Amino acid sequence: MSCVDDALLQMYVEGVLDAADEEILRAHLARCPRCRQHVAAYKELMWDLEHLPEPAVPKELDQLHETLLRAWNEQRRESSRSRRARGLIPAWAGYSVGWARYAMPLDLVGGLLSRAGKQVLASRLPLARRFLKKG
Amino acid sequence: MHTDDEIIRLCQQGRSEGFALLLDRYQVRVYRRAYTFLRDREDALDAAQEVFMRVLQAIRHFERGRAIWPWLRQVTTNTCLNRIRAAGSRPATVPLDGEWEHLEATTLEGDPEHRAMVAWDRERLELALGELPPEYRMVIVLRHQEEMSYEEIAQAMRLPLGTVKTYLFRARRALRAAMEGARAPSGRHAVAPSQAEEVWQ
Repeated sequence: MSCVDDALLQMYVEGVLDAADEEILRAHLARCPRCRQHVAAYKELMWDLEHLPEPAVPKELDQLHETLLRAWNEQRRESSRSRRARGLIPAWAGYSVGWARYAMPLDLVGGLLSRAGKQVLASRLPLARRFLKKG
Repeated sequence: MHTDDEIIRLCQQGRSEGFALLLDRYQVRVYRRAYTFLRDREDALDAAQEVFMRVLQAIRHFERGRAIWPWLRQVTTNTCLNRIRAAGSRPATVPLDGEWEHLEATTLEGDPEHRAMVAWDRERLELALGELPPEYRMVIVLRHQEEMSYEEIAQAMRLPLGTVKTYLFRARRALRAAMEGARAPSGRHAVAPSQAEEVWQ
């Protein structure tokens, strides 16, 4: 056991203590061989942790590379299919708008209506009012 | 040599060579990071696959000009964290023999006895890391191998800052104890007082 909190010693080794704490700890370390020993042990440990050897690369990673590339290509195909499908919607909407021009104009509809019918329609559809008034 | 930005641009244009380049550059790194978190080859391979499947879905939203690795590291951390948390109380596994590459020649220079001691220490440290609770190990890896700050680790692991510090301090204490415990029977002192003075200096 060290006479200083172990966490403080670790933070000191990492260099993340604030200046005031570091100064106090430094003064303590200057006269405490036991704490110096703890600090040295943590320095060694942290150095070792920063220099760990890398894990070996398994052969299966080549296979994974291929699998992921296939998944990429599949996703590209899928998204271009769905883009094409989305592309059909504006076309369909365009056709329906195109057909609308052959529909009977509103003022012509008004001509066919009785006076009472025009009044009812004008009261429900304010936009149609100005066409229907003409009739 | 393509830059990260060029790779992202190719991917966002939907070109498979962009994704192939991304895999060439980062697949091993993602696998290794996943392995250091999970300590299991199969789990790490599955995690690496999951990471790149997520990347595949999200890459069109990736902001150009940013470095890829911090993003991949975050996705890897999240993926491994989900696996660790889902596994719950599953005991940690230790690495198989030969799972770790030989150390670089430069780090093993010196007399045979010294080389053997360094190798033995590394092996012991690997075993001790494998015995840590997975979240402690993740904190250690993010701090000492990814050089992330406490705050960055807290954000990456979605943990309170105080918890990150607690995990880190406990993990290092446990590692030290494991190293010293292993050295004691062979008559070697953890850090001899004379050595301690040298390191201290």
